[in-house]
Amino acid sequence: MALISFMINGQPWKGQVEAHETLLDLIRDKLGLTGTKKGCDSGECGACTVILNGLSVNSCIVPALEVEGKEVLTIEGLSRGEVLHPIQEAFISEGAVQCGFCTPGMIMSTKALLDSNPHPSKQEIRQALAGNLCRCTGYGRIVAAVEKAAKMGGDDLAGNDSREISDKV
Amino acid sequence: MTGTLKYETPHSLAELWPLLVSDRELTGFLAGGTDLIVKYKRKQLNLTRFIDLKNIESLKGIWLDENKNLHIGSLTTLTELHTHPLIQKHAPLLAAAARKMASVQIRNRATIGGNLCNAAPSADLAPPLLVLDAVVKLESDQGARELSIKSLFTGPGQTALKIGEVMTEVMVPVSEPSDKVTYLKQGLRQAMDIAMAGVAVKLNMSGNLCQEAAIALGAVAPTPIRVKAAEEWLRGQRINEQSIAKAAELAKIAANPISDVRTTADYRSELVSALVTKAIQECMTQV
Repeated sequence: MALISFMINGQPWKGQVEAHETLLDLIRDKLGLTGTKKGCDSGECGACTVILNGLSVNSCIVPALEVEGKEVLTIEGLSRGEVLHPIQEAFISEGAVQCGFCTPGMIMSTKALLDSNPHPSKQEIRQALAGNLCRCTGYGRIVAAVEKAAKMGGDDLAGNDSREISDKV
Repeated sequence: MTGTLKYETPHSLAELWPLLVSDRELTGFLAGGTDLIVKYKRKQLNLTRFIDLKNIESLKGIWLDENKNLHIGSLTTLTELHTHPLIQKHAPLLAAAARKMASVQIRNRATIGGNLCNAAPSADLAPPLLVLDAVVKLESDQGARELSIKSLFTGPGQTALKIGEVMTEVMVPVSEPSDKVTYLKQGLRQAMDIAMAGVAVKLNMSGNLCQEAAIALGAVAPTPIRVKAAEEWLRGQRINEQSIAKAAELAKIAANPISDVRTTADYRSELVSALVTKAIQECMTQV
């Protein structure tokens, strides 16, 4: 057991974690943020994707102790209250969801992509999502949703957050 | 994950060495964790302690020395390998191989040191580093030593590292713009896949004549290997259909593949021949 503190979705969290605990178990079981899914639990499927200090990672293979002092963003951190993130809006409007289990991971990988490459090609989108498996075989709609999110300005690069713009309007 | 596990976070090599006085066989060195944590969860490892190396700053960083050697800290991630300007410029083969591995999420975590120290016969960074004549730096409380990457792998999952040693750096002689290099990998899909076979080729040409050739194979022998017979054959040859076919045949003879969950030994043998052929052809299209 060790005491750690880190930022989760912009809020500080402090608590005891075990050496064998993963970041995924910490955010689901101790923080109650169950939007992040446990699929394969071995770094293959991407359902547990979160953003750690700006980089997408499989939270199932990150030791919880390692996030001391770091920033973690999960699917719950994307919306601003009732206002959904443009990527979330794009997934809804394109119908890029079937059972929904892979969706939080898909959206987090999309966010990591758009924040580093706001206008990706179809090929770049497919490569960026290669570590996220959808067993409903909905990849076509998902890729279309990412293209739409990019068109909507779905990146959160400086000065390009469409939610802030819509708030002002 | 379950069980009683200790977790140590040394901040320097000086802090690491005293931790290695005892229980070294029961210690897992944690870098990216993309192999270690998965194996630990599957109870394939009997460990009582993780030593997280990621706070040791001297294991990080990429720099070029005055003798045109790239120094790559063992904690360098695959993402850093394929995006870092010094790697892209001076070791483009390594950048390209890193890009072909796993997924974004895994590349953000997995490290060059971890890929090499896990010593999977299919390790994707091994064939490129073999043809680039890389050298690894190993350190312990007894001091440092350098080892050619050819001597690093001793068997599946086995390396020449002594207990108590850690890999601190990978040194790669810079590639000249005239070097023709490629790494080809065959899997079932283009991402998230362990190679059925991987082939790295480096050629130095003088007009039509091959001055030097280096060919390395992954996933088709107990360790990644160089194919001396094919390299010697190509040296001094004109590169044409016949000389390529002979090199591919020699590589196939040198391979010693097994059948496993990914594919059969016979198919791997055919892959070696096909990939060596294709890799040499691809090298020849490079300006």
